[in-house]
Amino acid sequence: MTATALRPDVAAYVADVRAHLDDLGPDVVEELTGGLAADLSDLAAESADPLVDRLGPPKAYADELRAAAQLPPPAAPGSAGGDGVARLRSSWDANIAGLRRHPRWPAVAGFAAVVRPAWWVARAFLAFGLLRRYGTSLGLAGLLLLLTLMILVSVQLGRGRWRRQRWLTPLVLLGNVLAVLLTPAALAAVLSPAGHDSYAPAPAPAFRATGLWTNGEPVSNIFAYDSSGKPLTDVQLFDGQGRPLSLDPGQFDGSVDADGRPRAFHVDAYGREVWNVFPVPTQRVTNIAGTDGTAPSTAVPLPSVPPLAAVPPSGSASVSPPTPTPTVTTTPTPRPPTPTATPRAPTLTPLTPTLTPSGPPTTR
Amino acid sequence: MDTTQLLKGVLDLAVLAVVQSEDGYGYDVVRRLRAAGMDDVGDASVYGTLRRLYAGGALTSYVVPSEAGPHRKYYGINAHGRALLDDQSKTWRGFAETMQHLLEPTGARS
Repeated sequence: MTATALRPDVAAYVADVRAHLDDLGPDVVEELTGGLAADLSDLAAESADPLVDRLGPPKAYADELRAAAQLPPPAAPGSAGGDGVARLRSSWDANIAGLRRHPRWPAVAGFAAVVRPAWWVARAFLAFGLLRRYGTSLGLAGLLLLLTLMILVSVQLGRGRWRRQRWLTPLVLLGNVLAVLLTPAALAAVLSPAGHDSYAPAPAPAFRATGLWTNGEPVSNIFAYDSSGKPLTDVQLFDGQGRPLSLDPGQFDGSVDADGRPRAFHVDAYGREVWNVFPVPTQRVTNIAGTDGTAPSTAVPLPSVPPLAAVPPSGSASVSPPTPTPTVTTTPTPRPPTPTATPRAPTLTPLTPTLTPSGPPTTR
Repeated sequence: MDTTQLLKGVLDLAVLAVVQSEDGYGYDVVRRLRAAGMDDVGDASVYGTLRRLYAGGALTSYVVPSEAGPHRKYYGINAHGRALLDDQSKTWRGFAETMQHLLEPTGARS
């Protein structure tokens, strides 16, 4: 377009009009004012009266152009994001205009217009589904009420009843987009059974893989008493499959070895640490005197328990408590409590106490 | 009676009729409308209507470059526009007849 032949007043007028249409985007402006310069030149050539007198101020001309072309009125001057949004909208308009030229468009548009109310209800349903999945936990009546409310809001918005405020429109548009994008998730939430409460923390497991537990409580020590009710020491415990009933070493914040592992209280003859020997001394008592081996470091909960009704006829009636010397080696082989209930126990290795053994308090 | 309100309703039809007889650019269409008796029509309204009809698919558009001055944007009618013109002129005729009948008894009494 050669601007050289344009009269300056015409050029100025056209530039002003275009400036007032700036928010519509360059494509729309070009469509509206493409031939304007030439036409106004003709107009100006007819008469000596200035263009402004004959056509009105450029802004009024621009507004009339908009109105006749059924384009949106200019955005409020305060909206900073108006430009970008308006450009988006104008390019959207241009695309839609291209679509409308298709001969099939009226049929499709008619169908869409009829189906629109169904979309309002559907989007309320989807929003409701999303809410239920990620939010509230109401009773059935509460849920129905919420759903009804959301359908109401959606339909009223769709009918344009509440679209008074400016900010509501983009919000509704965003809601529409979100509803469409999140349809799969929302459908899953609505259709799945209602027992899917992801907020309830998983209950603490009733059993753990390590350590000893009884009735859900951890066991930190075991005190064994013989048939006559006297406490036993250095009892090695195994289950029916011959597995040692070992404590979890992590329970004890006692001394640790060089690798940071808790030092076991007992060591077998091969030097292996064992954790299934009871009772476990609750304190690590260092022999202060150095020579005296007696260090009663295990407090027994019960000095004695009632004796059992029948003493099992076993070869060894009572276990003699080990002599409290530092080098004693306790009896390696456990004697079966009754001849009939012999666990399939592997060959046991003798124990080497790692500290001054705790002898039972002398039974008085 | 202010004719601008009446004009708003039929401007589409008027513009289509003008363009149908011969392709024209904006100012040309305005001149032809004025020549036909529509003095009150505004330039911008005609331009805007041309653009709207074009966007709606009733008109075609092409640019004729000019060496002596700025290019001109011409509008022409197409099949869809012709169909629209027929449809709207039928509506207009029907409406005009209705108004005529409505007004006749008043005239006949005088």
